[in-house]
Amino acid sequence: MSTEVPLLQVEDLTKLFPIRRGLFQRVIGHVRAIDGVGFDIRRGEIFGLAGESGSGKSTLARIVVGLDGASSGRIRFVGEDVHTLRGTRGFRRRVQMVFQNPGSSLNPRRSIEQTLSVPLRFHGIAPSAIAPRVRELLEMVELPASFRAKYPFELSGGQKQRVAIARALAVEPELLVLDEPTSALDVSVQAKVIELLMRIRNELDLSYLFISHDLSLMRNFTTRIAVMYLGKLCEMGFTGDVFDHPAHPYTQGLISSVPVVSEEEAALKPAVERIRGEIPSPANVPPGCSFHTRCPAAFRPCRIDDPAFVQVGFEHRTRCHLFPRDSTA
Amino acid sequence: MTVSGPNKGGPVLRVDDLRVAFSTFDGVADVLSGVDLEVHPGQRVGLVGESGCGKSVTMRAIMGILASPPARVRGRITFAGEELLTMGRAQRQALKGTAMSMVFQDPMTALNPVFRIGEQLTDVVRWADRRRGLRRTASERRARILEVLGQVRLPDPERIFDAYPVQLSGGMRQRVLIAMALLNRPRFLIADEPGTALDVTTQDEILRLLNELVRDEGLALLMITHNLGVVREMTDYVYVMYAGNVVEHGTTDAIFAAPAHPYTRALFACVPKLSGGRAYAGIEGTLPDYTRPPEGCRFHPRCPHAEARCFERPPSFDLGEQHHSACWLHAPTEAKS
Repeated sequence: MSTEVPLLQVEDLTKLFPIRRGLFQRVIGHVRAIDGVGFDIRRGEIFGLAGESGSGKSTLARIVVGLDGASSGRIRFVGEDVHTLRGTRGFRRRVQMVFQNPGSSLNPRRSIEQTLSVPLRFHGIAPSAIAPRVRELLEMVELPASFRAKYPFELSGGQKQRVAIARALAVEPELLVLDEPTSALDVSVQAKVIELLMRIRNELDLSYLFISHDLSLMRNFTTRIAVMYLGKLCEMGFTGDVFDHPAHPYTQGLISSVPVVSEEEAALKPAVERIRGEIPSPANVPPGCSFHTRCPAAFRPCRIDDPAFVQVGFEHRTRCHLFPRDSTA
Repeated sequence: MTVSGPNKGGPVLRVDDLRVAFSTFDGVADVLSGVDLEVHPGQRVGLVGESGCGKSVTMRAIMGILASPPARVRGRITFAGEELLTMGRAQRQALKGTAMSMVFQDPMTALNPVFRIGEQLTDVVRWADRRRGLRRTASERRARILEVLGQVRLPDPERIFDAYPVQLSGGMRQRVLIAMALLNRPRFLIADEPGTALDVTTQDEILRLLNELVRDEGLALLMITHNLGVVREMTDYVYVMYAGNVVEHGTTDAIFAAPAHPYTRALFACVPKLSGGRAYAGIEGTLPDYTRPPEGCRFHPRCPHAEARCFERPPSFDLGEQHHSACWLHAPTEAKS
């Protein structure tokens, strides 16, 4: 690995949401939506964040782009603390986000041209340069120039998501946070959007933080992957390593529960016991290892101690009592 | 016309040349243009396709829950030997939720939030009893409900009976919906994307449960889904739909071993594989406008193999005893075995 400063560094990030109750909305406790999460995204990388609903992955995305603040911990962007950068236009320009549902993330009363020119105007692009840039953006996402005058209701889901991607690209960001960008789309449309994202990344030298619950998609699209459970990372490593040798029982169970379309893929699934039940509420996280209530491999220490995030291979870490200390490859 | 499926004393459900059109402001949308399908006793059948392919319209026509007008339904739907589209309204109503039943997709919206689970399930039983002229006491009904809640493996059925939907997780609510469909001992179950709204681990559990119940009760299942992986793991026989037509059907093994129709092949190529090796083809173009559908094969404007004869509608050609494709590529013309 190169020694250059990572594009994004997330250090020991925690996010608490207050639980309020009663007439005076007294704070009676906290939901730990994110609990001590740390990872880096290197330049040019597609970093995948996987997890079930309620794992905290979307909250993390919102903090990374500065839509929400963290309770503690730090995020650095090219070495600089984002908390101090957060309000600045410079930072907002360099980190952009594409949301899950293009149906609700586009303003229905704005034409596509208006939608795409808002960020350009906000970031001080000369008015005369806006129209050519809009045309260029549409071309980049493979939409005809005639779409300028259209409104979101005239577009299909895939086309809307292309507009959302164009809007994120308008200000020439370096990091794109993609929060389930294709989960609302059909597979044939998803394939085209993913292809587009791959091409754009190569052309514009972008990095992605890609959030999804679709592990098959992750396997094909990401460089490295982190698996999140109840606000904590339970495994992280290069995508190939994590899929070929998943260490954490949660990762193993997750991979083995993906419905697949061929024998070849079915053979790759770890032969493990199924994960039972559902993810507990983040307001009521089990003590010890938070996964022990569903874990087929749980033993005594799991109920008491939270395991450390240890090295189990080259840049491959996991948080599980089955791996008591660093066993470096 | 297609004849297919194993013949174990005739199908439970048989759909012949089903045509559904809707009147819209832009003219008549010709949505289903002749769908044929069969479901045999004990068989698990998948109806797979992308959004807008007509799979939900097919399902609604079978269940008799298409508002008409605006829908115009023609063709024949035969259930256990009886013709559904011409039968009397009362008779049709009596079938719903009894001999044929349905598991709804979204566990978050399919239950009424202001009534307890027990009340909602009791309604279903009481309603069916009235239609069938059955007299049961409240405690007999309650006993049946608790029995089924146990069958779908909900812990502590008594507590679930008194709970409100908000007190249950998504997976538990999906189980309640399955229980609801089983209450009146159906012979035939339609499942509309069960578990799609849930996480993969929960979806996996739900599908396994559904599989066991279908097997144990000897039910026939028609499962509607967009997920090819779910089809592979849950069904014996598959119908692939595109733009209101069945383009290919056959045993799940045959189709997954060798998808034949260009649309099916393109669809398979779009699915990201757990084995990696990204090969995203995608499918050029979009679904046709149903008010002006392409002539002949409706897939031809997007098909890499399209040729002149595709302007004529291809019949279903046999690729094997239990594998059929509606594509001219599979016409038995030249020397072909």
